[in-house]
Amino acid sequence: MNSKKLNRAADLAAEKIAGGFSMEGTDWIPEGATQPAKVEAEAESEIAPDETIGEQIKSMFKHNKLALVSAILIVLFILVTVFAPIVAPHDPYVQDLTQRLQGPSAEHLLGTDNYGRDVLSRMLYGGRVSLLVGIFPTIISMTIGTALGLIAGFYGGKIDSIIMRLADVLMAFPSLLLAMLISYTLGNGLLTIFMALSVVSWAGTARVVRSEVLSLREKEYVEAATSIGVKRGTIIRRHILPNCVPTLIVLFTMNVPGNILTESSLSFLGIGAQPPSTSWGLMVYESKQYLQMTPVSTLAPGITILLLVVAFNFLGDALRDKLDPSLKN
Amino acid sequence: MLKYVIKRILISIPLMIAVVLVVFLMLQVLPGNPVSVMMGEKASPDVIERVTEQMGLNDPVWERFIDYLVNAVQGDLGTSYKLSRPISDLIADSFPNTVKLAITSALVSWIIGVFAGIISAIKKDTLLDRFLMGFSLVGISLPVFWGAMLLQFIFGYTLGWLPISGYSTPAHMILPAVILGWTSSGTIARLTRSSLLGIMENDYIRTARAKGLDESLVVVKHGLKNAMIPVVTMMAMQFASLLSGAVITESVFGIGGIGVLMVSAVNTRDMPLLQGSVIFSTMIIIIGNLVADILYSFLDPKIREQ
Repeated sequence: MNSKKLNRAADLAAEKIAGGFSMEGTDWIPEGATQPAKVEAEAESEIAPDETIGEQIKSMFKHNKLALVSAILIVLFILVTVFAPIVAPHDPYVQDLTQRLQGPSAEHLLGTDNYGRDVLSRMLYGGRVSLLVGIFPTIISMTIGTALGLIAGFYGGKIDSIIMRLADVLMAFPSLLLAMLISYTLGNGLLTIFMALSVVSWAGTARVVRSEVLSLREKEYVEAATSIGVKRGTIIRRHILPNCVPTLIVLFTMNVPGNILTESSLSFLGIGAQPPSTSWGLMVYESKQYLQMTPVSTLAPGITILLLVVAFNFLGDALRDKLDPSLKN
Repeated sequence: MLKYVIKRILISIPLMIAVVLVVFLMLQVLPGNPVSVMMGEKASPDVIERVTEQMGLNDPVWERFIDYLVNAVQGDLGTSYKLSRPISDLIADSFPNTVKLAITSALVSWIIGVFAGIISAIKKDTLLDRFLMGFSLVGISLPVFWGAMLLQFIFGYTLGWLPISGYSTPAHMILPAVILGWTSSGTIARLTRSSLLGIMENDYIRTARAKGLDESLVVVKHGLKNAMIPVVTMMAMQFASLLSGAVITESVFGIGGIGVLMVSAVNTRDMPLLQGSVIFSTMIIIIGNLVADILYSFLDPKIREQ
């Protein structure tokens, strides 16, 4: 924890020296105070944020073991679900009524469900849905949000107010309600949830990116670029967007668990994944009446959701503290 | 100050109208004829045509929207297709149950959240701090439906201490309030901790300590008083969100509140009911955020002076 604190202190120091512009890690704390010229020179010349972000993340993992464990867990989850056809011990859809509602055994590590299907195999396949719906709609909605936030922040005026008022309206709705409305209109199913989550949650990203752009626009190097006649598109691409990357990485890590929870909640309500396909939320719903008979197979999908979401949240916290402490509130 | 409050209220009105418009458009315009959606594929075209005409759905969209808005302002949200009762009555019946759950779970959330946050901040970087923050993060990450089931299993089935479903006695409220309160407490705990830690770095705290004031007095009198400003704001927003209906918790525990009303509207394809209850719910959130904003400006002397 102490090292984490030190890192943050270093970030804050760097931020102060560079005028709110922090890209460096811990390595230059000792001489930091004597080096403002270096930082400014760096800000004016080419910025290579990818490299420094990589280094920052590396040092974060070195000092924060919890974040490292979380990241490993997430990668592991992704691997086993992607390779589910190879890893899964049984076919997740084959029913065997003679084997229904069995407890854990060597043959079925997590037991079987109401139709005699292997719970572990179903969880591996169900995890594909949870991760898919957790990750891809987040990417889509953040791309939309980034684009709209850039436009709003950079062009200002009418277009800014239109985009931000639209964001206000969307953010007034709880995301679960919006998803329910959309699924009422488009019909139940995964595709609907996928679309709902992609369309609904861009507003938060747009707000953050917009405020980032507003502060970056005032920076000397952006003014300099504008004054020598660099095109707006180029300024956005070369100067604004790279500086938003750390924030976007943090936002991504923090948005994914929310989407995983929303998907599982909707599937639990019967609005999401439809049988015979499955997701962790749907598995909890299907097996809840057998809780007393087969507690292990009923509780397993829920624990997995919890583990995955906790891992994403720990990683998101660590990344935020490292890359963008200003997102804290 | 008064000017700010009035301005803030005036800003909320177009937002509310926009929300009604979004719900209206999504449910009544996008999917084609809401009557055929409601009645399913088996309904004959004649019947659909007659019902459509009866419900005034052949009028232009804008006319219908204005009518709906004017009626909604007067408290008339239309009539449920399936239950044939005014939607405002249905909401009036279920809202008290949601309020009961909101109050109890907010109490759980605030007590756990504030205490965990304060202790964490005072014992910063100790094992206790890490445990409490871990506990909060698990609360934030917990799938409510699953946590609720687990509580039902342990305290309902296995130990038999508490009822697992329904809402007739105060004992029925304990499990739902605990699970909903725990999942909500994480945000409060984290905010309390970071806010208090931020405040404790201020010069006037150092002065208070230098005066030889007892540390607990420093924390309570000088630290907490300021640290709680954002926390109270968050509490107001959270309470609004709880009042807007806890869809999952109400469903798992069979509490007939606004959340269950919305789910049943989706399942029975009762469009006016879904429309009315979602609008009601979202209005509560908007009003809650409005109150939170005003509360914040009122509590923070720096803003109040302006």
